[in-house]
Amino acid sequence: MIHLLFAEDDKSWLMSFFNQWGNAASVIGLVITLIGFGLILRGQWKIRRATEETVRRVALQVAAAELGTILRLSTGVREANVQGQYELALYQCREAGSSAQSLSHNPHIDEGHSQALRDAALDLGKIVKHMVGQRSKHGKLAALTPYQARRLEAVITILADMNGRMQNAVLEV
Amino acid sequence: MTTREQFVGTLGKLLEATRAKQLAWKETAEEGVYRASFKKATVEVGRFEDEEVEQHYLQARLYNKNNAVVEEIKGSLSNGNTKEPSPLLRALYELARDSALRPEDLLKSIEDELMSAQRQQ
Repeated sequence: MIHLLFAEDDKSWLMSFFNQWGNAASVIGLVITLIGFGLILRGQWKIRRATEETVRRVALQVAAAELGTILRLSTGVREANVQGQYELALYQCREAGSSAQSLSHNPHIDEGHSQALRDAALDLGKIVKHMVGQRSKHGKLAALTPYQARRLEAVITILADMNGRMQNAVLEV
Repeated sequence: MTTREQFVGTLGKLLEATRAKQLAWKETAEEGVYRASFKKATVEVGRFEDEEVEQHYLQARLYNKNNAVVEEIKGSLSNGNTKEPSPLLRALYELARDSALRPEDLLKSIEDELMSAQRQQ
């Protein structure tokens, strides 16, 4: 009986405690849960943003490195042409053209750069076509025409400009 | 409507846009060939020589994003018996050349230079 009375007393004390503090605890708990959820979301957003920035930085670095290679190959065409190494010029021109075409599909470079790379690939392709045409007509490769040498110079200028911009973009990301 | 007819229609629109100076053409690595670049395609118009028959002709080419030719229209320059739209190609070629080479700017600069020389005398 004593135990029963004590138990009932204890239960009523607990009930009274729950009744007194239950609603407040629920509200505080809800607020803490909402704050925690917000903090988790913020953390997740920060992680996602940092990951995206890293991916973009790496992609731009890869694109900048690829563009540097295309630029070196294009200047190589110019030098090989001047030195009369036409087979080397043809090889480098083909490589530069196909690499420019490939890089134009990179989703991390802007539309203007993509168009410029497609244009460069078309121009390098025209130079290759001219060289191959000369070989089939005369049996050997010949120098670029002065017009084509000028256009190659224009392509190199555009690629060099893009390379500079892309290097800066890598640093800014 | 076939793709060819659609391309002819597009060339007409390019002609109007070039005439209105809304579209700029650029030189290419092939002399006498001019290019207009778009987001998903490239159009070239130019004067070519068929070495086998020693005949010049105008041609417009449509390239996709992979720089593959997806449509081309050829129009003979030296005779009029072609069914291709030579007047359109000729007009587009001339406007594209003017847009790329800007001869009017050069002529204006010469005129300006002459005017300033006359003023100084």
